[in-house]
Amino acid sequence: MDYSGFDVDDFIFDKAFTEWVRTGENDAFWQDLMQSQPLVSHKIEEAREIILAAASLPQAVLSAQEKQEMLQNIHQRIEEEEVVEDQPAVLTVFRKMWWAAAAVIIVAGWLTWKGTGSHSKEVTYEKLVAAEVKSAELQESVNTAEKPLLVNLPDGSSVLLLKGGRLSFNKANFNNTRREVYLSGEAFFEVSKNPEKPFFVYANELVTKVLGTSFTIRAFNDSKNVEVVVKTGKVSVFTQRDPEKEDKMKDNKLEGLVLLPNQQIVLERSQMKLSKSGIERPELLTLPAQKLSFEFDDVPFAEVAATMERSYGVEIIFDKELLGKCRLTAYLSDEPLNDKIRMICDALSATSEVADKKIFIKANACK
Amino acid sequence: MEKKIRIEKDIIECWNLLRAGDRKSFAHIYSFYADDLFTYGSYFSQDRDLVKDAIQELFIDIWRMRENLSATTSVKFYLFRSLRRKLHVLTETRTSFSTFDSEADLPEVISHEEEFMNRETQDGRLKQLHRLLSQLPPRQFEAIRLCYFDNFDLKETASIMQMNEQSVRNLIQRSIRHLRQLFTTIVSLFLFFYKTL
Repeated sequence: MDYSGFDVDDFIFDKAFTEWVRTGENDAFWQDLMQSQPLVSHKIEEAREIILAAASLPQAVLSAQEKQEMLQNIHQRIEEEEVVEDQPAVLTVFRKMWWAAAAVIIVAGWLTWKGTGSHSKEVTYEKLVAAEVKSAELQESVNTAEKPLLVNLPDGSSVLLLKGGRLSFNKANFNNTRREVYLSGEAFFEVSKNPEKPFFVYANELVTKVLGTSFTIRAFNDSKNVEVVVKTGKVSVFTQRDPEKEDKMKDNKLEGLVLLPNQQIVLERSQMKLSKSGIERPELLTLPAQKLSFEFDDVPFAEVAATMERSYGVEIIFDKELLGKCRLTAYLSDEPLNDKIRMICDALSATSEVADKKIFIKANACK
Repeated sequence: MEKKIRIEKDIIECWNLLRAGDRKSFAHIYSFYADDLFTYGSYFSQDRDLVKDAIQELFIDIWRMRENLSATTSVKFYLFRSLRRKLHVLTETRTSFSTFDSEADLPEVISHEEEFMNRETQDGRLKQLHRLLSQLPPRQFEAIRLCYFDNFDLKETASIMQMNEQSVRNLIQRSIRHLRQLFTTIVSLFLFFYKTL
């Protein structure tokens, strides 16, 4: 490269030159050049001075605290923005608006909790139940069997309690202003929609609030985490220690951390840290009810009945000759079991009767 | 040079992870560039809060649209260009972004005595150059900063400033001419600044 004819502004645009000025690369070459071509060397000097001055300009500086605060704001705004308006439900002729429900799966991890002596601070099912004011009126369901246990709540919501699970609620005032249940273990919830009466699940340190959804919750006393997985609708979660707990519980809205379908949250109990994610481990959803969409497109009633039996562990008894081949189109994902039955009966002009785990469907022949 | 390339490679990896939805990589990119972005933004507005807001908005937008982001060879370039646009919108009324490059804004003339004294010291010369640079018309100042402070190449600088390369070249040439008119150098003074990066 012949630098003999170079002027100052030729040097500042020369890549090799700017590299030398910035990093000292090829210093020998440039020193040599300046020695051997004195006329060029003062141009080199000028160019170099200018570049160095530009490279060392006084700068406005962000303090470490400001930088950290900004990042927190960014995270917070991102969380807020991920709350999306409720997805419009798929409506069919058979769905009645006020029965739209959501299913929530509350799951607690199986990992044992390495307690560090702060066990007194932990919130457990036993403690919550003991603290319930009128504990004499608590109704508890315990599943000691292998199969999931279906629990129907007074408001029509259904809960599938898995093996070892325990569910309690206050019989007397369950459906007054709020609907509240306590959970230990794993359960799949299908909650009747009632925005006037929010539904709360207390599982260890986590409070899950729904207006009408389907979800799974896992909360075991000896486990490190509490998990909530949403199937349909949306729920909000917060901890028992949340300073804004009272406000979040009071109203008919879902605030705080809101979960949408196929999202899950894990509460790490010792640090009280909530983290949200998409469903990473679909194998955690073991119940057919958790996974099935209950969408029937012109399907024989016998098949619909079989699906319900499989999902809820109930027996559906009907006249196979009369009803077996009746075809049904229904989208029943959100509904608790009883609502599903009711809607199917409406569609078939049938009536139902429930006795223990048996559901009797009586109808005339279909058209 | 080696170190610079290595850092850029890591950042590009982070960028791709961010596009795939990795929050940690997103936070890492923020941490890596927040300071530079703030410094850059501050040349457009003395309002610290405004600049901070613009940077926060920028990153929120990036996360929100992470799936639509393209792969890039220079994350810094992308961030700078985006921040400039954001600040442009936020500071719409300010004159910093006047499209007409005002030649009338020449650096003030300093007294001969002051000039003489300044020549005597390295520090003095540097300070004087700094002053003259900051008194350049805004676009000239920006072009020089992007090329020599932020180390973007001409092409990137042009893209950030939304000009073509030749215009940027001309801009820088004009600014050098300005500086030289007002800051005559003494041939006998050899100043060797060894700056290590």
